[in-house]
Amino acid sequence: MDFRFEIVWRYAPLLARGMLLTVWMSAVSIVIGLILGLAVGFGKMSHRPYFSWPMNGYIHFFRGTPLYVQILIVHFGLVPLVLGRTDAVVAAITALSLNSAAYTAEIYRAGIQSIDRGQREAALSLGLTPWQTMRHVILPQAVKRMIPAFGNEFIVLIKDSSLVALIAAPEIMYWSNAMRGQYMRVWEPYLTAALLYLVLTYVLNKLLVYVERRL
Amino acid sequence: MGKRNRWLMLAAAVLLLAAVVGCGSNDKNGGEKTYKIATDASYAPMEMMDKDQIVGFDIDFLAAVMKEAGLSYKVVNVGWDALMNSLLNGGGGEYDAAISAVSITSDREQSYDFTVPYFESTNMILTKEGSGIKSATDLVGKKVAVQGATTADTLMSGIMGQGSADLKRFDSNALALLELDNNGVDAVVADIAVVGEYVRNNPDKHYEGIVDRTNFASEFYGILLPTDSELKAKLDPAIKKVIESGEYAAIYEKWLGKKPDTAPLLKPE
Amino acid sequence: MVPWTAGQTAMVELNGVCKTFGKSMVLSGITLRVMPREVVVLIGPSGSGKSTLLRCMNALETPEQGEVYIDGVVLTGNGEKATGRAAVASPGAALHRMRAEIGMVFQQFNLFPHMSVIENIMLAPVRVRGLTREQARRKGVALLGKVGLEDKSHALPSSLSGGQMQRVAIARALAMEPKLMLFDEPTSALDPEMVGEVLNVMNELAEEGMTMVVVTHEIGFAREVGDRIVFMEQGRIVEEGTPAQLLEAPREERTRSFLSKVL
Repeated sequence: MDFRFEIVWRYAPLLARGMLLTVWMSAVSIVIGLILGLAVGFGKMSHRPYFSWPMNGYIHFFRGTPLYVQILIVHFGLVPLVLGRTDAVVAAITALSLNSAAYTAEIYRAGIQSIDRGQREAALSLGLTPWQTMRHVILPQAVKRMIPAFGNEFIVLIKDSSLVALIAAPEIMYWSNAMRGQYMRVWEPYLTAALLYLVLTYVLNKLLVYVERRL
Repeated sequence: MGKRNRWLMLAAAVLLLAAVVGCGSNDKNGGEKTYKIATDASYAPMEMMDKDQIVGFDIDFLAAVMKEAGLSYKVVNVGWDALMNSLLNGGGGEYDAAISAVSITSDREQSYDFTVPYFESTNMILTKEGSGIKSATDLVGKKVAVQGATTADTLMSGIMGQGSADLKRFDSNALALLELDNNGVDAVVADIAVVGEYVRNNPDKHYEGIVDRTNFASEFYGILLPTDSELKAKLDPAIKKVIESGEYAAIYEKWLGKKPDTAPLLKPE
Repeated sequence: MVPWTAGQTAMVELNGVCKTFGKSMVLSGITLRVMPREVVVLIGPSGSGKSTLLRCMNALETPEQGEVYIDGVVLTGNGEKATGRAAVASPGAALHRMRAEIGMVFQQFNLFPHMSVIENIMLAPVRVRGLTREQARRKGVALLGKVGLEDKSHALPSSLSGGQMQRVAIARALAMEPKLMLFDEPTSALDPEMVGEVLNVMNELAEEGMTMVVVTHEIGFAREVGDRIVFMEQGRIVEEGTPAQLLEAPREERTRSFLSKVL
């Protein structure tokens, strides 16, 4: 088959810009998702139903509905409600963060609950507060176990970020769609996009292996 | 695994993907051939689904043309990617042609053939009343939404710059219009039929449609063919005949609610 | 040695403590006093509730009924019902302050596997007592010397034997300078040859005058070190007395039957 490299080449500057935006949006969403997920995860683990119920509902909603629909709701519903106008990048980061938080919350929960109960009891018996117990005894051990699951989640997030092309956030998929429309070619845009995502997830994977070894 | 090995595996994976791409089925049946025509039935009123039926201007027009040419055919809704992939590289894929409101552009002619033009597409600006926008050039510096891969996209990419952050391309006109409703853009550029219908149906939103004959040069739709298709010789005369007869005007009026100006379609090239 | 006097405040006082897990009653109305410098050994068949009783003494379990006092201060329960005491309800912060005064040693050691031996010992003195790291380190090294592990300061718990781990756990609890030590079957998870080294440390501690409550199956230890032995069965105290009384001349048939199985 003929693969027309010159049209990829012509779109290279735009794809490069798209890649930067993908990296930026994903990185910000990962960080927000991690912080928000911690709160959601702790909320779900709470023994007080007025914390655990809403957080449980949150997790069910964001894991149980398509990200595609979530992006549309955030872009055309939530963001205009707050800003009075749409903003694709704000909506993309919001949707990806909210979605990711539902998954990281479960990773936190599973990680924390996997730590032997005796660890918590030993720390409490020494007079540590529940917060100190979490901070100095449970989390350091749990985080180590969470890293592979977080790695998975980050990689999924980077790939899922391609869905925000839907709301015209000019990232990798958006520009490869533009390439596809202009030349009516299928494989140049898709394979190029796939390769760019592969590069991103490969680098992230390397980074995670490095972090896991250092801990 | 060594570093070199990993790169080799990466390259192998890409090649594998590339190899899969070239494959398509190649069934030719004997006797009278039934041509399979692909469409992406998601662009009203040109082609769309009415429950499980494919309907629209293109579908009725194609029926008239195939009758005129004396060919039997079948239209299948396959979506944009399958449509393109089947006709790329001289065809040989499952489909013999595609009708899907495809604009004839030089970029596309590098990979496909087109029949003679059968439809004139004019774009229009949809904006809020009193926005001060009078022509397409007023849109520079403003935010504009279009449906990607349409003539509106091509035109506005030309005017605003292809990489412009102010030009937002959506998958459908419906989303582009929603973006305007939510103040994400100052205007939508779309086909005259789309804009006209939206203004008519939403009087409470106080939108207006602006025609700009100078900047929005007409674009023409053609039936999409693989390069060097034998069909071009059969379809071109049939298309001209259908347009010259009253049949074209009747179909046009049925789907677009007005009479066509066929002069640009019939002028000698 | 502090003499026992009639008006002396008990180190541990349980009044009618009841505890249920689901539908089963694990403790049914336990009343028990442990005086300062006293070593009380809880024995009984498994499932008799002795570990649960011990865990009530530092609020790892909260009884549904009854009160638990530590050194005259309410740990759990409705203190207002108790008469003539400075009853302090102890939720939240007060609970952690009280736990800091009560050392606990677990069957499964529960050392923090991500910290070295010395960090295990330093954690609570630094975080709870507010000692500087240097002060805590000096204290930790001294305690490791006391339990015979001065050379293991930088080892990770996973590299230690069971006996060594339990001695570190004891040192860790002692670093808080507790006024009461609770031992929950401290030798049950150990290979037989390591039981002695842990019991020796506990023996020394008892001789220094530490108030101790020990749940154990080591009848020999109970006989030598215990001031008093409490025999429990089915969530009740069946019989208590000095080792001589309880081990040599038990009054209750159930005690005799239990002792005949373990001796």
